[in-house]
Amino acid sequence: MIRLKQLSKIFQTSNQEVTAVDDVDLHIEAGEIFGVIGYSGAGKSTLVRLLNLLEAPTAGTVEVAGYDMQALDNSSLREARQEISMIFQHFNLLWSRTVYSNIALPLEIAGVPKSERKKRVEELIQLVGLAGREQAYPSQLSGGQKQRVGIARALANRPKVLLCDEATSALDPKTTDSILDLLVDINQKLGLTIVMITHEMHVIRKICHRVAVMEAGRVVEEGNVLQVFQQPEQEMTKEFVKQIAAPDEEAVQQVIESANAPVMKLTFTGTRAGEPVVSDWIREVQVDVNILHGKLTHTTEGSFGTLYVAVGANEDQLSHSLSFLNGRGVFTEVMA
Amino acid sequence: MLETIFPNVNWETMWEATLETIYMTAIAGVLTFLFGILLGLLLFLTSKGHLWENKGVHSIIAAYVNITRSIPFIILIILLIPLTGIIVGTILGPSAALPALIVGAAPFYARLVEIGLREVDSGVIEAAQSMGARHRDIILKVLLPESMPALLSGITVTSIALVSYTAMAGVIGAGGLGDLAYRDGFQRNNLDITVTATVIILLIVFVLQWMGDRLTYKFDKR
Ligand SMILES: Nc1ncnc2c1ncn2[C@@H]1O[C@H](COP(=O)(O)OP(=O)(O)O)[C@@H](O)[C@H]1O
Ligand SMILES: [Mg+2]
Repeated sequence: MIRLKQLSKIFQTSNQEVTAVDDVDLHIEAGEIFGVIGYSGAGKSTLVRLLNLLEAPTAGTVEVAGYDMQALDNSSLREARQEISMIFQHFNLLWSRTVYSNIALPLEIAGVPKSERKKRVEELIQLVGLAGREQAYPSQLSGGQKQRVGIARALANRPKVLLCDEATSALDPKTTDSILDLLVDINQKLGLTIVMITHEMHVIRKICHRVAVMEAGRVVEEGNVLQVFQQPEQEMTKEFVKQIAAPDEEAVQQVIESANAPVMKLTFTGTRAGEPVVSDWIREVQVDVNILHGKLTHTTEGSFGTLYVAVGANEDQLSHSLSFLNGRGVFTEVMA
Repeated sequence: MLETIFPNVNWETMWEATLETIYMTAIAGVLTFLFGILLGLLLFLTSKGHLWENKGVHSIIAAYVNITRSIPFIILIILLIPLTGIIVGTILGPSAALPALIVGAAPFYARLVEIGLREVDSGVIEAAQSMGARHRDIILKVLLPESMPALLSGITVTSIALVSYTAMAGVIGAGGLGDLAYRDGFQRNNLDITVTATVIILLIVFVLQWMGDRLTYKFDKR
């Protein structure tokens, strides 16, 4: 669906050159939710703007939804852009238009006749859950509602690709989750390919299938979200993973010292979501388990993280536990 | 009663002058609105980082705007007498004042339009571009509607300036309240005429300001 080859973007400012995107190769499959994570200034926004040619590449090629983007003339580029929608951190709605006519704008631009426009806008309002707010102005909406309008507007011309530049970064955690749920819903219902630009690991783990980590314009690491979580190779990636999955060491040390039973460390590396490993273990081995500390996170492909437990068990039960848990894909060690 | 306070005022003449002032302000106001928006759009669009970025064209328009804006209006009228003759067919009367009024006011308004357009969130323009908008769409559906409150408050200020320009247009015999206040009032020492004309001009200004404020408020959904 998206194929970038040796893509670079150099900005020429008055006193220096800034390489915002540096020799990026990426391949994003149709129907995928692909995350791009990196700190501020890493070049994420520039990368996403290169995809719909809002920014012209300095070198390399961009192919999106079957279009060789750079080969298009102006009018074909405008048509291609109707298939490559975008949503923004600050929503970028027209304050002069109501919810209804904000969503109608891309349809007006595409020359859709009025009666069809009305039908489509009504569908979209239902889809994003804004029924009853059609005549409100953006200034009367919450951040989450504004982003819903942004999403409805982006979907109006039935695009193949949805580009999201920090689409949840201006929202509180709860609203972020509801917007992410909506995006997953759209991805599944419409088979839309989604590119999620973010600096939040939470967003990646919650909805992305694959992820690319960007640093100083380069993609330094790329792969399945789970795999990148399990075996982060770059320092950058490790830092991001730590944010959500590594328990802080001081707390762990304290917990181990104050425990009056053997402590086991369980490392989950992609256990099937919904599989009750711990309760199976307790039932199977008949042990008392006291959860001391942990940080677990759920990705689209399973659970990931560590759990520290104190186990009231004898030698036999301990070794039985080890073999049971390791057999279920939970890497387990006895700490003390 | 009226005759004792305003012994020299001929109310019919006063009314005629009022209509002339309103006529000049209204026609010049509408045309200034159109030309000012055109000029302002050109100034904005040809500036750095915008749709029709073009240093050459931008400097020419900016020079034109700055020059016409800085020539004192009274001199502008005199300079434009030949042009007026060609366009209007006469160099006397209210219509003869129109070219000078518009040439004087449009650049002033164009700067206000440009300022208003600069305030439009660049993210919104980018959003429209990402939808595949043509330049025409961006201008008509994004730039102008999103800057409407600024365009309206700008034309309010400009129309009020136009009212005082019409007074100066008296030098070419344009008529109107300013002309009346000067010739019949000041030159013939009829204070009552000057005062009455001034009060009516003030009323016109107040009404313009009030309408402008209402309209601006109505369009502002921010
Ligand atoms: N139009 C531009 N002109 C000059 N430099 C730019 C421009 N846009 C972005 N940059 C620079 O490119 C780098 C990457 O920016 P950006 O893509 O916005 O990063 P991110 O979205 O990851 O925060 C930054 O150093 C930024 O200053
Ligand atoms: Mg950014």
